[in-house]
Amino acid sequence: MKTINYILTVIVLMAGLSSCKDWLEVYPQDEQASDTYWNSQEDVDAVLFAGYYYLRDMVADYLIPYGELRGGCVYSIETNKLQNFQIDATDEDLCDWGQFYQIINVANVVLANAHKAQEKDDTYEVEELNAHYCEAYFLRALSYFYLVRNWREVPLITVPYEDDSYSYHIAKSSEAEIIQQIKSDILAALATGSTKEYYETTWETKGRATRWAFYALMADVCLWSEEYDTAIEYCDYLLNSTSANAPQFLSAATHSSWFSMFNPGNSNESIFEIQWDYQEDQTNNLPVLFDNEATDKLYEISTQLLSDFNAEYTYTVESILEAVRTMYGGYYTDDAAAYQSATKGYVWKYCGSQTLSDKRTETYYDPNFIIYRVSEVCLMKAEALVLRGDSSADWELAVELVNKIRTRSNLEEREYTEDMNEQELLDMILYERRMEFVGEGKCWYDLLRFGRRDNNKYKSVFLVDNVVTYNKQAGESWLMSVLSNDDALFLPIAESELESNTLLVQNPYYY
Amino acid sequence: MSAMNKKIVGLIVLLLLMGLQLLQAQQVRYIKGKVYEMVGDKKEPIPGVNVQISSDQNRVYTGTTTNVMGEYSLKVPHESGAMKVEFSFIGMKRQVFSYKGQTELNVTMYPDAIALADVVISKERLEKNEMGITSREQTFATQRIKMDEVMEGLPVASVEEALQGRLSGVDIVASGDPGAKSSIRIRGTATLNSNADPLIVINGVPYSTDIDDSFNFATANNEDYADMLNINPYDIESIEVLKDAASTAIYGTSGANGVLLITTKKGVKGKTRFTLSSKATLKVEPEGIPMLDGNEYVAFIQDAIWNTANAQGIANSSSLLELLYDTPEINYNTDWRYFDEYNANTDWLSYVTQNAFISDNSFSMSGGGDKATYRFSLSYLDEGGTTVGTDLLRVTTSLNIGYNFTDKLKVDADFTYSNTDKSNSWCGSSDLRSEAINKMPNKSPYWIDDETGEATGTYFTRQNSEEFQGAFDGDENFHPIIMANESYNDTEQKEEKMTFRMNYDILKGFAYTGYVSMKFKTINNRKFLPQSATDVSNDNTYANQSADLYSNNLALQSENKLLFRKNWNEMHNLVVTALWRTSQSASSSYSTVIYGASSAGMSDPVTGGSIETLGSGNSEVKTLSGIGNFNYTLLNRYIINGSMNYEGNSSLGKNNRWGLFPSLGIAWQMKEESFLNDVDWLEQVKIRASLGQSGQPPSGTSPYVGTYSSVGEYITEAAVAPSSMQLNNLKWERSTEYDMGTDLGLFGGKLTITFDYYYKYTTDLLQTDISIPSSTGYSDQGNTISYYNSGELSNKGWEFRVDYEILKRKDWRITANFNISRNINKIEELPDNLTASTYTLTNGEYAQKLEAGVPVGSFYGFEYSGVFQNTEDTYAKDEEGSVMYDLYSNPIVMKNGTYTCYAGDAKYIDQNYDGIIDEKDIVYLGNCMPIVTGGGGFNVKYKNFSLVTFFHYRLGQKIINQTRLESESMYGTDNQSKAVLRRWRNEGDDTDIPRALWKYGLNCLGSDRFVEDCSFLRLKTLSISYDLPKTICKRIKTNSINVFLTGYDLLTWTNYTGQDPEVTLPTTITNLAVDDAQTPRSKRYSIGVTVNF
Repeated sequence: MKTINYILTVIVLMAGLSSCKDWLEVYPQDEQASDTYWNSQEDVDAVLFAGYYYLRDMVADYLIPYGELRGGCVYSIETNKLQNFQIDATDEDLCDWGQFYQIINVANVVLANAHKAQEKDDTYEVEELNAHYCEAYFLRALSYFYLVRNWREVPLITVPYEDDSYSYHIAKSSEAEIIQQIKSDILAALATGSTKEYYETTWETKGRATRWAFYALMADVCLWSEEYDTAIEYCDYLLNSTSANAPQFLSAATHSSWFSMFNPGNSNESIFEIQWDYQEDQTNNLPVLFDNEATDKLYEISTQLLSDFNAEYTYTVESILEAVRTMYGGYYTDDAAAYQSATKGYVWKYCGSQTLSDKRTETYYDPNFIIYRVSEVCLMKAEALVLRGDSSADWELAVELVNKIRTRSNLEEREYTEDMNEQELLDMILYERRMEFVGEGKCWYDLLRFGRRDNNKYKSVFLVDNVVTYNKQAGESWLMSVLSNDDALFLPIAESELESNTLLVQNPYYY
Repeated sequence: MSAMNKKIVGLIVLLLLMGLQLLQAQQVRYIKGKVYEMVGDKKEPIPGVNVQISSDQNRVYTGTTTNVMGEYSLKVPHESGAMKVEFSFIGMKRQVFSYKGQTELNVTMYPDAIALADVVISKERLEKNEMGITSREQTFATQRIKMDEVMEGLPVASVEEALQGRLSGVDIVASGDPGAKSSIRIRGTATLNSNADPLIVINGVPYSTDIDDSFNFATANNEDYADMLNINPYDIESIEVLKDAASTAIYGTSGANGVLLITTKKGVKGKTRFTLSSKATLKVEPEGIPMLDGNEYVAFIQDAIWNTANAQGIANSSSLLELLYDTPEINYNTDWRYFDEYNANTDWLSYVTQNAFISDNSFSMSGGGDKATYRFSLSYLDEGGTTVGTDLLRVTTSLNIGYNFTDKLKVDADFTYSNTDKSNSWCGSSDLRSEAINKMPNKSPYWIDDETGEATGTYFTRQNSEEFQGAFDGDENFHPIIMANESYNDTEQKEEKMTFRMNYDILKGFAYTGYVSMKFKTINNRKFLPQSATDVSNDNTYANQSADLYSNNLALQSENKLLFRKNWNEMHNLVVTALWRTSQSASSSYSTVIYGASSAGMSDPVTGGSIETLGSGNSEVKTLSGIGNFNYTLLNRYIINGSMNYEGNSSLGKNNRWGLFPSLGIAWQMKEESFLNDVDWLEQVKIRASLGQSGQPPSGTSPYVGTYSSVGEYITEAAVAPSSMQLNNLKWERSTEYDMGTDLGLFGGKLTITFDYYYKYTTDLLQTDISIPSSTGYSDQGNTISYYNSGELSNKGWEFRVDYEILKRKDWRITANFNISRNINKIEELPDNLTASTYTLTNGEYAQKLEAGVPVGSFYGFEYSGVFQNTEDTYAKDEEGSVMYDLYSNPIVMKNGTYTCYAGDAKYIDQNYDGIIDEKDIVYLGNCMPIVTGGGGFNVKYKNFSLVTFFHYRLGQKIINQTRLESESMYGTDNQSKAVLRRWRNEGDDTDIPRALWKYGLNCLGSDRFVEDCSFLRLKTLSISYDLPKTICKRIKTNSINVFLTGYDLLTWTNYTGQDPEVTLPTTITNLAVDDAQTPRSKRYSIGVTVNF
């Protein structure tokens, strides 16, 4: 009996003492633990889609206001400190960069972990893995490009904040360092040779990063960093591509061809656009924001732009040509018949339906938001050609590219003459960009780029004068005085961000 | 989970198996015989003698009793070891024979002489703790309370009540509502965001009362769940408190805030004893704060509106003037349809308060023999609340069975079950009382009969947006009487607990103890808010809102312990223990809130109404710990004790999951030294010192785990993103405690003194919901992480306790005790990424700050210096006290925020002399930590009478008197206290109460005006009891009868102007301590009887 007891006691003890290493591993039941996440190709896809999802989330609140309001062509009818240049660090919502970093974190997480899924998933080919890396690079590069254009200097984060092993306190990097990072991301992606020319579905081909999107982004970045040869090189990769999958310039000079970019969208001309689809219950409020009759409308076009548009429209009307990017293309007024006496104009791109003057009905509130299309690549190339300034052939070619855009809109061609100077040519391109891309979140960045290059050589003519001409939401003298300060061209860092990241220093002008 | 469950089940089975034995079919042997006694010199057979065959370790194999002829016959079991035959009978000497194969054994029994003589206990039984160490050998201080001594004449309804003020260093603030949780702090608060409650250990098994963070009840208040101990005070034998880290070491880190060891009563050998006690108590609601009556209220409101119109200029005040002239509620307009209902004079509070009764009945039965003992108890408590609608019903039963298989193997099992029903009104007693206090007194609770002018029996419910005080907003503006009578918030808590314990003496000095314990708790909370109480429209989510919340928790615990004890020649004494403990707790919850229910019973979402919210939650926490402990005593006087706890917790990540917490203590029994040998008046002198470390883990289900979750769909594809960061750096909050103390016993133990000094330093404080930069990419989650270790905190203090037996005579015995404790809490280092919360000037709001160098729970606000008497008084002064002028040589007028001050406005001290009262003028105003706390009392026993008194005090703490703040703020529609009749009206009014304003100005900013000292000394209990003489008891066949009369909280000495200075501290310790119309403790008068038979 005694021995039995003895043995039993020992057994009981062993039961308790036996190694319980895993016993303390308790996972929450309602969420997926990050330790156990990366298992298959689909897992990587899902995280990348979160990047696009976050980007889409920013269109109405950030991408459009940041790209448009300070330029003044499109303005908010509600008082907005951004367009008044009165923003300060306490306007947390207006200067919150967190959403961009959310995309960056998603990209960083994919770059750090996708290989784990590839190791576990037999059907996940290396080629596919590399393609996923490319998309992550694209999302990260694009986000930093937005950040650098809005804040100039931001913390450069390339590590995944999946766990707390990396410090949260990161100092700002210089503009050059960030541009360098963006370029090296793009180059790294292109170097894999795994960037896709197309995906299985149309919405993916236009809605995910393709090789063409990389080319467009690279050209854009090089224009910003004043590397014109490279910009031209990347424009040409796209424009001269012989691939059947390359996006094509829509040259037909008809309204329906041109407007198909915006409705139904995902046109041949599109390179990268953010997707919505009412059939998947994914709609947006862009039609409402630009709808002259909606009670919640927010945006109108400035009087100066209205008269610019009216002039173009008058030209086509008088020439008995079809209006393409003017009335019911790029813009519309309350009464199209009496457009010349109209005082208010609006962007038509998001509210227009497929029939000329009808608006989208609520079911179809799913216009996409285009980030790059071939027309822009043409104009980017023109811009680079002008600035490279090697030969008059370059300049002539630039005017030709501008005319390509104009011809399809049934507008008179610009003529190149030997006595034209760089500024005139740039002005021509800037005008074309303003008219072509109104409402697409480009205007302010164009002014910045045109104004800042060559050490602010054209700051007053392209940046200050244009803002003063178009932006009537703030007093002229105020605008002149703010814009004279180069630091005021960029946003402040939100106060809460400064508090929680102790290495951050507020951007100058907002101290 | 399942693997461990299997292990635990296996363990239970093994323990059960241990008692069984393997029988083998063998030849059957019998033993028979006859038992006699000597009557005179003649042998007579005795019937009913116990005959047992047992092993040499007293394990009983079989047994029988003799028949009327004194004969017995027994089957001899087949056992290998030695056996013996035992004969026993009451009053006779036990006879034992060893079994050597006899077939017949006749025995003669003799009377037992010792049974008749006085029993002399030769040596006091040494009480040993869990680690097998006697209190003499301890290197730390403990204090033990024998519950019988407390309960004798001082019956209490809860354990907390019994302990309040009795234990030095233990600060208990009990609540006035039935069944509400008390706050218990041992040696101050050493943590900011984790649990600060002490660990409660019942019979060696840790017992948790808290509900963990992951619970997500949509509308419920956690306090409804975190309940008091569901244990009947009558079942408790003793309570011991362990305070320093060295003493709590064996309970692992959960003992970091101190440990209360509760030992329950066990069955005792002997004939069955019954105890019955019954008590009836009357609770008397204290006098309320006098409030304005109907006419005074109307006059005050009109005054306020007029003053405001003047202040902002008549031109800007058309809406105010309209309000003044066109509001029938505050005008005398006999044509108005509700004229009668708004010209009443109602003391609303009196409708929702009452005197209440408590009845408390308890029964217990215990007994047993050599082999088995048992105790059974049952108690029933019905406690009424002084706030209408509050009530507590509790039934507890317990059963304890102990069985000695052999001298070496003992098992015992505890079963307890309790059912607690707590009732409250939907909004809780505190909100109910505030609403009653704030309600306009000129409004009638009932419709007034137009003919007679008398109130009818029908409630007058007019509480919409057109009403003067506005519509119901979720917590204000309802009909208090309907709320009290017809709404409910009932919590039913059922708890079953089973503990199975085994002791086995393996070899001499080497023993094993183990237990498994299971606790199952279910909580069901039902709430109903009748539409009549709120008068909201039918589609409002508050219309007949009904909630049903359910949660259950299963806690499993096990412990295996080996204990080795050896003494060498009274020179060296060594006790070594090793134990391994596991615990796991899993909870799940479910809640539904619906509205538009057709009746009070319809809280089920399926049967009616629209669903407002649905919620569910799951949580699980597991811990493992291995603890080794040794205690070495040299020459009975030099003691050294050390322990090491290696503990793992599932709420921490792999890298930091396991923590090592050592402790070391030394003690010196000076009395044993030769130089003190002949000092007669010294009974004991012990000097102790200890240091130890402990930890606190974060709470909740693995809060460190990083997660991914779905953010939505991108066209046809799922989008998944990181939703929380994995916190691999999250670690134990670690505290180190030093303790030095002495225990003195003087004059043969008549006077005992204990003194302790301690210093506790906490590092790596757990911070919750810490902001991280949005550059980490967690914007959708609000850029926070759940936990972060940062900051340091210290607590130091001393405790002194003295017990003195003043007098002991044949008929007289007088004893007295006193204790006092001081604790100083200090934030040593602020958490490094603590962001300063922004303060905007708001009436009634205090700034929230944490500052290094001040205690937790500090108040910040403005310094109040009365009322501006006239225009000159409102001019801003510089440091020298001379008036400041602006650029145009006009005097600068003080501004409270953006409001320019006028005569009659509140005057705050402009700390920085800038002419504006703003957040820069905020100063430290004190804190809610008391300077000293303690208690004391004396007991007098004369013959059969005894008188027990007990005082409790807390001195030097401050509190925000929120009730007074609200009832003197004169800002909105709330009724105000009579104090505002002294409000400033004209220059020269000698008052410190500003003028009345209507939703304007900053006359009641959070200032020292409402931070009050709430020190008090209170006569907690005064009790007289009487033991009926033995002769009378015998006549009615009982052993003893005790009757008693007790008064609770009869007298309070305090300068505090609120209703009750004993204010419950907030459960989140970074919150401010405010007195917000909590139910005050009532005076209680009890009468009761305890019968033993």
